[in-house]
Amino acid sequence: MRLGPILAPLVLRPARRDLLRFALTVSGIAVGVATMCAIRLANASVLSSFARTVDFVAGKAGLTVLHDGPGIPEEVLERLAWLRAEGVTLAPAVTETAATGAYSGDVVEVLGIDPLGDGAVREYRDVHAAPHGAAGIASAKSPATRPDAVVAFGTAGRFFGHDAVMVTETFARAHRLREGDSLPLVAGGVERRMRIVAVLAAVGPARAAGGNVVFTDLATAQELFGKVGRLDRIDLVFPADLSSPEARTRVEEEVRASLPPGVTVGRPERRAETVDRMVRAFRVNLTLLGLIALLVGVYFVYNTLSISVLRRRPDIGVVRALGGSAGSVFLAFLLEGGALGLAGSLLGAALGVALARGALLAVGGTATEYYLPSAHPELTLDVWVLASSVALGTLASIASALAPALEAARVPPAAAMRHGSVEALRRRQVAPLAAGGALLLAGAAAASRLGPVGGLPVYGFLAVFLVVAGASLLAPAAVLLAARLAGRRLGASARIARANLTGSLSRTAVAVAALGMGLSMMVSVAVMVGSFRSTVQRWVNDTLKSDLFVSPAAGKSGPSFGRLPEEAIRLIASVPGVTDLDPFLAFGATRDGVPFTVASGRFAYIAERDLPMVDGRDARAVVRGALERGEALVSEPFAEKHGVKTGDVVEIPTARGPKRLKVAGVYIDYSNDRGTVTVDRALFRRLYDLDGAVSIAVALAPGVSAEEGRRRILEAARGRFVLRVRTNASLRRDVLKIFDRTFAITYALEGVAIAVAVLGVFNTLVALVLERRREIGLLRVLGASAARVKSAVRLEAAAIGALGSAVGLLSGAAMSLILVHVINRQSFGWTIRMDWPFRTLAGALAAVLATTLLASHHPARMAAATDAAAVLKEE
Amino acid sequence: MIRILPGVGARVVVEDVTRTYDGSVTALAGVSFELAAGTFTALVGPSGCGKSTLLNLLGALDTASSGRVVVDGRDLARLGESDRDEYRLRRAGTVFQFFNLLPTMTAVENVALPLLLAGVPSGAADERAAAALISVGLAGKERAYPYQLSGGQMQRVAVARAVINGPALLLADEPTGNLDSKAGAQVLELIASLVRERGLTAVMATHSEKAAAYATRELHLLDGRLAP
Repeated sequence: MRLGPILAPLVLRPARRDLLRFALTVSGIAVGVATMCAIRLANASVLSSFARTVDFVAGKAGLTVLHDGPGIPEEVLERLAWLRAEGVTLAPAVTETAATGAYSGDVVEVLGIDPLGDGAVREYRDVHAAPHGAAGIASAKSPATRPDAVVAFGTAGRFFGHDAVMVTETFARAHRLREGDSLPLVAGGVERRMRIVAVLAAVGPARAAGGNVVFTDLATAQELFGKVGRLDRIDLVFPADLSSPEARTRVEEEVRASLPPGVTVGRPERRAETVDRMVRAFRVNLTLLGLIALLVGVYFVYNTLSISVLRRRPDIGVVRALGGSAGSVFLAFLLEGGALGLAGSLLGAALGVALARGALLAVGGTATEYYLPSAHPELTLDVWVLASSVALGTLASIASALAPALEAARVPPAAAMRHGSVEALRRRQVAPLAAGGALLLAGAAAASRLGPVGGLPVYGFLAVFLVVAGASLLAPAAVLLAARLAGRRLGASARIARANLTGSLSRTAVAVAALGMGLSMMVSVAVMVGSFRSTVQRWVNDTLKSDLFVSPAAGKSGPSFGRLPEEAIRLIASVPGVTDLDPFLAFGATRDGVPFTVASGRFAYIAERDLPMVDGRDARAVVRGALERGEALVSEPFAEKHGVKTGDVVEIPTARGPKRLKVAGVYIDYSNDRGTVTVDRALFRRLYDLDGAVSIAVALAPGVSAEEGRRRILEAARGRFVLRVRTNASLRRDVLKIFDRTFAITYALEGVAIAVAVLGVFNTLVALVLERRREIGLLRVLGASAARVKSAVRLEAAAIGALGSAVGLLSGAAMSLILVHVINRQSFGWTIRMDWPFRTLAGALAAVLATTLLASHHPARMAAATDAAAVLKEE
Repeated sequence: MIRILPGVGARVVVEDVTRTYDGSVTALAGVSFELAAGTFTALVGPSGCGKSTLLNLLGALDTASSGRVVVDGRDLARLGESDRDEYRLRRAGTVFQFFNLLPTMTAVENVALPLLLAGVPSGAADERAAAALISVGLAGKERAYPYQLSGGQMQRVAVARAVINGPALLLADEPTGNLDSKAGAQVLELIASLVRERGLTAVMATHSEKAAAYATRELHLLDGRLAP
């Protein structure tokens, strides 16, 4: 099989003639790959930012003791004291989030450490230190340093002050700070002025969170964050003689056995895995959207190659007659598809890097809003993501080139089959293709009834792809049906357009399918987002009944963090005009490795206001019953993810062991997708030694306006607490603003899919005009004016646009049902009520049709400019 | 049979026409002749002698570099774009060697197309086209696509299409070049009968003396010039 000699006549020379079309094809693939690449880079950056933070903070720790509740009691250190005899170093720490100013400060991670021992775990270096790290506190890398020694020149003494902090070089540079400067730190609604006693070089934990880390003494951190008597982590550093996996496993088991309930031990990277699980559903859904954009681009390759094969049939026939084998013809066209795919993918990867920053703003913003308030995602160019995106784009292009390549291989030697007979063959395939399409749609319906796999809606994704594939196979039948429905009473231009549409079915049907695919993505996402938004809006109206919402000031951060002390609650309760309040308290826990939230609220307060229940029961009765019987309420995402319903028993971790509670009801909650178990505040305080509130809902007396109530609370708190006080109206606005920001990237993806699809229509029309030059010349000979020829091309484009829109609308509607009722539900656990945004869809359809007509402008002009005499001379 | 009005053939005057391409290739050099209405003229000559070029000039598909082509008193070089379209639609019909039927349309749709272009309503256009196909011996082939027809059948569809709008001038470029002798004879007889019964003027380019015998007059071309 000799490939070389036939490449020039079959692939290279024709490609040179059709540069515009090939450029368009490469562009289409590039846009699809760029979209997918940008999203994957953004996802990888968010995760690696957090993973790096975990690594930097974990340092040399072989194991880390973590809490699965409100914190590790300090007495655990005593329980683990036996480890010191084995040479293991224990490094306790508090990790929290704070702001460097009440209302405009940056968000920082605060690491409260034991300065005497932390050097054994983590490396610190003062920026003024000598190169081999003998300054500052003990450096883990300095072999002569014992972990419990302090090697310093004055820093340690100053570090033990209750207002002492160390900042990183990065942070200091960004905020123009130096050693000795003061730094405001806001935590739990209290602002304190801290003193910078050292600036740390960018090594070890100073590199965490993009350098936005502040270090302080353990006791200072416990006091700052209301965690006296509690820790967030205890890192264990093993000596050299305990480095074998068997030894570590033994130690891990013994440690686990000595830990109280609610405290766990594991490898440090487990934390990254937990966060990965938290954001996984969000990441996977975004990646799916990016994949569809790629799929639309890959249609280009199929379209371009199919047209190429048809145009080069006589050349293929000649090559075969001269002795070229079918195998070499197959390979030649496969190579062409691969080359197009590779060129497009390389360009796409480069474009993806350029787009990644924008994608990270969107993805990172959402990750920060919902999952990781202290995250500072930085763009990292993951080589694996780039390489795999290029590989995926290329492989997908080769796969889509298979069918045209096979068709080319089947062209008989000296093929003289007339154009019409090839298309007649296509028309005979319409019925079996339509049957296949219907089968795929039925498969989609069946797949959408299956449950999640590993918490992911795998069958839901399959159902979406089956809808896309099924609709594509039905496109040729849709074209023929539309032609038949158009009837016979058509004018010249319409008749020419219809004949072209049905007469070049192999090309026009692909263009219809591609446009349909892009539009279906747009429709499904628009319906899903629109339904979600209106559902959230309704929920906000139903649940946000309080007049004011108070939380600790959190600088520039969107979400609040930290806990207001009891004193703040008492202060607010005493403000004139405040009639009642509900302090909300919560912490993160895990259940079988899946994160969820344990929360508390005043059930008596909640019972006076509505709380929408999933089963529609009267919330007042449910909440009062839960209060009386000491039962819990669970949110819908929790119930979905853990298969829990009313009447079941759930366990929540406490210091005295798991507490079993009966579920009184399941309530609707869109504030987070982790899932929440909520108990009455009094019960919560009995189970956990925790007070204060992360937020407080406030009811005002009649006659006291929200603005007035806000002013009174801020006035009362002045000089004591820094609070964020939002009125009911402003909180509702903020909720929807966050929602819109979260979905901004999906709107961008919709636009990309449509743009690529319309590009496909343009590509097809140009190809068809080039192919039909003889027929266009003939029309001019018959007396058709240039305007008539243009009109026929435009009508054909309009028909492709209309058919693509119809296919897109119907398949998009099916996909939106899957997105809402299957994918969203299985990913996040939320019930969403369908809301069809007819006006938005109508506007989008009009835009697509207009753009399609615009895409016909150049091909129409090309057709009108055809030199009739010249083309008719060609044989 | 297609209804024919007698005496509607075109009168053609070609005056000292030259056609050069790129300033160096001379397809026609100083060609002059006149054609009376209702005549059947064969342009005879070997390949490359300028026959097709001359037909293109008569069909307003091309313009002479110098000289005049006048049909029924109208200098074709002076026609604007839309007038040329109109001329090709209503005044001149063309038949090609390779048939040039639109492959995506059936036989009746191909024949009806000039009527639709002329503004005839689609129902009436289809009826007249069907009748025209019957008149050229293709009854029952109305819904056939070109790939389903033989060469002779395709050429008869092309002839029906060329005359459906009642042109005064019929141009045929090697109409039998791709046909066997029997099919070719049928097409030539069809053209001849149209000239006789309708009175239209026909000009046929051919290299075949046998085909030229169907015409009433022969003009011989060699290297772009008319032989004396």
